[in-house]
Amino acid sequence: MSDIGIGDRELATRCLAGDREAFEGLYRQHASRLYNLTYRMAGQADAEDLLQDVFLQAYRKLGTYKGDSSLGTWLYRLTVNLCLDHLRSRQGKMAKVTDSLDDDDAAPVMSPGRPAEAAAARLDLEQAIEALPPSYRSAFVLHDVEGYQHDEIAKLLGIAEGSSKSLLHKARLRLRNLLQG
Amino acid sequence: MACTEFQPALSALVDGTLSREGKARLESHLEECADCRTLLTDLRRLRESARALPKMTPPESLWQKVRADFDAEASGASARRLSAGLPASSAKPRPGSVLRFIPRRPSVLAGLAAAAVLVLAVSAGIFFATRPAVPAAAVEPTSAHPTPAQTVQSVEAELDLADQHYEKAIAGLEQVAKEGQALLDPQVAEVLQKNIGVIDQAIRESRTALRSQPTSELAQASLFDALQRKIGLLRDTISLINEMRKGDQAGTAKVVGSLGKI
Ligand SMILES: [Zn+2]
Repeated sequence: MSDIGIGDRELATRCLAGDREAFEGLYRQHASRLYNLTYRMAGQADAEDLLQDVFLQAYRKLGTYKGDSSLGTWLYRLTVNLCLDHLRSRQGKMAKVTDSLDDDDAAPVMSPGRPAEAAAARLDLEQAIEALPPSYRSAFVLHDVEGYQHDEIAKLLGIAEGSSKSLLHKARLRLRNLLQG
Repeated sequence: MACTEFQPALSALVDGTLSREGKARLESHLEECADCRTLLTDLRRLRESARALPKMTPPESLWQKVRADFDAEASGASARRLSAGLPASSAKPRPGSVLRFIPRRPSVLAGLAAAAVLVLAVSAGIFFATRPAVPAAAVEPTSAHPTPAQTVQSVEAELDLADQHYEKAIAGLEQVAKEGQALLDPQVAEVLQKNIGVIDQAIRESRTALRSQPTSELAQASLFDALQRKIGLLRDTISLINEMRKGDQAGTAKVVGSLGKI
């Protein structure tokens, strides 16, 4: 995650004062990166609504921004949280607490001799990602798509580093099964 | 050695985070195991595909919406500043942003607790040679909708209860494992001790995370994941002790093979 931008605190103050140009600057600077995250976490259908919500919430919460991280990091964290809230409210009740406790995931079945098709189309991977439960999806998107390290993911999600590793591995196995059909 | 033991290491190998010893052990297994080689290829391919996913750009129309929100909020804010005390916010809450701290489903937690008790009950039967899984069916799927009256406090209480049941199950298993410890090969016992230490650390970290974010489902899942791993390891230990008691060489080898699986 990036260092604190020199003008971040000043930018936040200007936004709070109702300076639309400053807010547009904030948007232009961060929208694409955050959109990628909402797109991969929530899927195309909800990505835009979520990003709109991110900037609305950001404006409302900017007063709590103390400048101890960069605005980029602060916004990213906010986006991760809104994505998780969104996924959970959308998801059935059951899988929430138990989604990393499923026994079939603890001991995934090996399906020998059948490599995932090299041509496993991108669309298939995108659909498969959308089929993952929230915790798996967060770990996979943050690590394999967004390129974060486990210690950073642990902080972002409020979990132990070992859990991030374990969630990622389970996510990959689940994806592999999904892609094999 | 069971292949499942090597699977997390395969992910670590793909990510380049595997220790040198881990890598050496894995590589010697890979030489003789086609299934794991296939899995490794698939995991590498999956990671490449994930990295190659295209970067998306939000449509320009999105800025128009964000700007409209901002204008509404900002004018609401200045109205509030001008006429303090008046309910001036023009912003309507949007779906997804309202229910930030929905109480978790206590019945699910109760279900987890029930599962832990079941483990304890099964372990109390001792000398089971096979490894019973915590039945998913024990987790009651008919969780009721949380009522507004269910506060964060009540969720925390449920969580504590589930945690306590796990701890009780673990204590029971630990007792049994301790009694049979002498039957174990000292090296095996050492590895076990080390693995338990790793899991205990994960449990501590999860508890710390949960204290700062009591309603985080990921933190909850992470804690229960760690507790379950501990139960799994203790169960394996006990089943190993049982094999030693029976003098079953083949069975012992099988159980030892799955012990590293934390
Ligand atoms: Zn193997």
